[in-house]
Amino acid sequence: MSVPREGHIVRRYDGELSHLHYLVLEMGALALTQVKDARDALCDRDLTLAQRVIAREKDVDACELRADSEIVQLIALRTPVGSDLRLVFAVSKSITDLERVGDEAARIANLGLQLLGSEGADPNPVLLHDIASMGALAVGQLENALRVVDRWDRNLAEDLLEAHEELDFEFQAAFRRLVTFIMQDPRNIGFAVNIVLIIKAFERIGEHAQNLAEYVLYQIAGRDIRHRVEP
Amino acid sequence: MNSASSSRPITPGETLAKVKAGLPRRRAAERRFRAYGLAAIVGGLVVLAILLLDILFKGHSAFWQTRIELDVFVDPAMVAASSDERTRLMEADYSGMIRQGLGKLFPEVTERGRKRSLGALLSGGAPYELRDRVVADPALIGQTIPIWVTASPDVDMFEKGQLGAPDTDSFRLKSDQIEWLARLKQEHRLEKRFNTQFFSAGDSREPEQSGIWGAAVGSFFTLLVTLSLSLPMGIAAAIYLEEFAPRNRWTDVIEVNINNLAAVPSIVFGLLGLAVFINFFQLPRSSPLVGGLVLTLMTLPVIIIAGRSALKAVPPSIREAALGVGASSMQTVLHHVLPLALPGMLTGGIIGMARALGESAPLLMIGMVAFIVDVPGSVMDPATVLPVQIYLWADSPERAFVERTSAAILVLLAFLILMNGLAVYLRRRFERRW
Amino acid sequence: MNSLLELKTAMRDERTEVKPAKRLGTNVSFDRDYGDTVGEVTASNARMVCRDVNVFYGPKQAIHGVNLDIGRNEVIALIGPSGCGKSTFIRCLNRMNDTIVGCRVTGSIQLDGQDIYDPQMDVVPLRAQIGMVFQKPNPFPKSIYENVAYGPRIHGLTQNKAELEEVVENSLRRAGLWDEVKDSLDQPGTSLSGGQQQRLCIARTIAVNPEVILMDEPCSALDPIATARIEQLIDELRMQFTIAIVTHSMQQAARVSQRTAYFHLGKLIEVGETAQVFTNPRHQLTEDYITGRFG
Repeated sequence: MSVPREGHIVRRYDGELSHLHYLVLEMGALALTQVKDARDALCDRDLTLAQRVIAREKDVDACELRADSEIVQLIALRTPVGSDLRLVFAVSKSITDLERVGDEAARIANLGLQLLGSEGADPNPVLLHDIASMGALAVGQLENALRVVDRWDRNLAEDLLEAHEELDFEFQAAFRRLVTFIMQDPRNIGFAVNIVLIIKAFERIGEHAQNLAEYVLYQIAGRDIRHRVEP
Repeated sequence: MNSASSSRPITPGETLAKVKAGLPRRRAAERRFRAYGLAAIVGGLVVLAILLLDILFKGHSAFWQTRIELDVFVDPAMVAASSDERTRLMEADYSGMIRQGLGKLFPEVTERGRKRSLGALLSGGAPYELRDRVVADPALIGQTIPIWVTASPDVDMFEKGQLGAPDTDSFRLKSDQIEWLARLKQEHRLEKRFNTQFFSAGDSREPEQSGIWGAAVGSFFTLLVTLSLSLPMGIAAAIYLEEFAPRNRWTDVIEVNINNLAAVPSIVFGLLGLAVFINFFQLPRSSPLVGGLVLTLMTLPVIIIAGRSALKAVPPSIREAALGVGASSMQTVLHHVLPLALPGMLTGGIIGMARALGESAPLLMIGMVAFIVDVPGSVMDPATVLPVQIYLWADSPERAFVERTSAAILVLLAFLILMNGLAVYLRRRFERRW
Repeated sequence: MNSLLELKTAMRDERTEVKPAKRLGTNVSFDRDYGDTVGEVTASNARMVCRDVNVFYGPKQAIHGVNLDIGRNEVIALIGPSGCGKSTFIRCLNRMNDTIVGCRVTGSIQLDGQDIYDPQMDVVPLRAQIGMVFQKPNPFPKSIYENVAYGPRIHGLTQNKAELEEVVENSLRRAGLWDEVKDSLDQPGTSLSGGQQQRLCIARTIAVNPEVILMDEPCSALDPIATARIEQLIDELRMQFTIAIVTHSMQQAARVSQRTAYFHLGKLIEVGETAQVFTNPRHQLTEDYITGRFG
């Protein structure tokens, strides 16, 4: 079962379900662009790009509203059950997560503007190094998550979930490095806090990406694998 | 794949144009069909109306009888001398008294031949009418009483205008007789009165004395036997076959036989009755009992078939409902199925009875065609029935029996309409909606 | 308030309590293969136990080896496409199929441990124990009172008229019909609306005080409001009776039942907790049927 299975007697129902799938992908692509642009804005010190990210945030919100209303309609009119119900539920949850991803991207752009736009201040490039690596990881996970959603593939989803600690470790490492910087020079404290917030946002994006994979697995396997205790 | 794309595209209005093109033909066919039906009904009604009107026209006059009023002196001298009061009264010379009474009206008639002609104006039964009067009230002896006596059939026919032209063979009145009748009429001593005798007397050789009461009572007894045997038996058989009998070869054989019996010519049942009931069981010939038994055999299949179809018409949901509450099969049938089927069963029964009432052929075979004057008092007495009476009268040569035949047919038809009306009423009254 | 709390506690207790019995039951009484049926065929506190039930109409086999338990105070819904044998199966449970010529049932169906197809078994008391409500409302063409009083009367459940009247009133109350008909008890039952007629039929069934109630598509002829009333009624009746319901409406099955059994071509494909069957059916056929993919 790579994509939501078709074959309903009412063929329009198939169309409505695949349209929901398409909406997740569209919103995912939008969120991914936001995250990439926010990262690029920071790495390239491009303030206009950051402002564009903030401006585009409302597109993500609009996308969420549209998807939500379609989901409500579909539930009201088709009363999905079984795998269809799980698909609709997974899509609904995914939409919420992607909207959060969009929020995090906007937050990163905002923090970037504070970081780079403040008068006469230029943070140490070494400080910004962690942003690049965290950003790359988060973008990579989000890309993988969207691939999972696109192909609706169980193996891909499981692979992605295997990598859930990667970002966590990276965050802990970056955090320790930033603490060292602060201890070296208390003047860095303003930058460091902003940077911690930024990498925390990237870490959140990674978690949302993990969630997407979990929803796909839930739809396919029919059981909830979130919050499970590792044996 | 797509069903719409594979078929020929339909241009708008094409269907409508085709439908409209065929419409006149369809309308015409419909009109023709209705006309056929109407013609069939009108034709049937016309034939029926002609038949009924003919019978009514011929028969209505039989309900009226010409009577002549005499003033009769009940002469004590003519009453026979006998120790027994009843025999004395019965054996008096009533014909003599009537003759005297008639002679008083026409004192100028003295010649023997003309006196006989005068006497021929009255029915042979006139003395008996006087006798009945006197026997009922012996105090009349010694008095002169006015009494209306029945006229002879020739006079009756003449008064009803059915005697034909004066110079034909059938015109059997002499000119002076016609004169006397005119005089009687002038004196208001000749009248057509309602014919009570027709409804109270048994059969007779004399048309003016004959009645249908004997046949009606015979029919009543016969139907009583038929009804009391065939209805319970028919309903019980229908219930058993429909509700309880297993479906196997035996029940199939029984079913085929019942259907066959319903189609057997009725005279065959008469032969059977003759062979079995009269010859083997030695039951009295000509009796309503044997007639009823024969008619029971004849109507039983009809009642069983009607009963079964009435049971079949009860929706199975009612049976399921009763069984679902835990009613036994018998309770289901008695409490729920039978009450719903009973109107249909009764209708079938009454229609079977009506058929039995109109049946004559099998009864001819068991001797109910005999000439029986007495009104039967029980199912064992010899009797005849209405349709057989009609058959007998239709066979009689006397001119006056023609109108009586028609009148008897009218009475029979009235009974049949009454019974069928009762069937319709019962169905309407007890039929339940579900 | 208080009683509801107690009830809930009692129910929870029962559920926790019966868990070991469940395992005991499966081990002791029927340690055998349940065919291809997916899911938990056995019930923790089985009222009716059906094992290897086959039904034949003449040479044609309508039900193939069905194993199914019906638990105490549970509503079990039987769903499946038309002609899948669910109605045939439910009619086996009170031997309504006896009335159909050429119908033959093999295997065992037990009510409280007693085989109902035992030749010694009398169907009259059996049907008093296992009542049935049919697809089409079928009140007797008699008065409302007579409809309800009929069962208790033929079974001799009451001593006198007053008692009978009490039973009638109680049954109509439990069927939620009393307030609507209390002033017109002498009116014919057929004069009621479709939904009222069906509730009258339910009242007629519960007047006999059965242990199990079978319902064969009881709402298929009713509008949604009448259907909702019947569903509410089923939910209330569950406290006292064991109910098996055949339905074409999957939403209805989902709403009223605790367990759902899916039949397909005379076979029991899957049985399980209703919530599980409708969110995550285990068999592909069940999935296809409930999601509307049935080809």
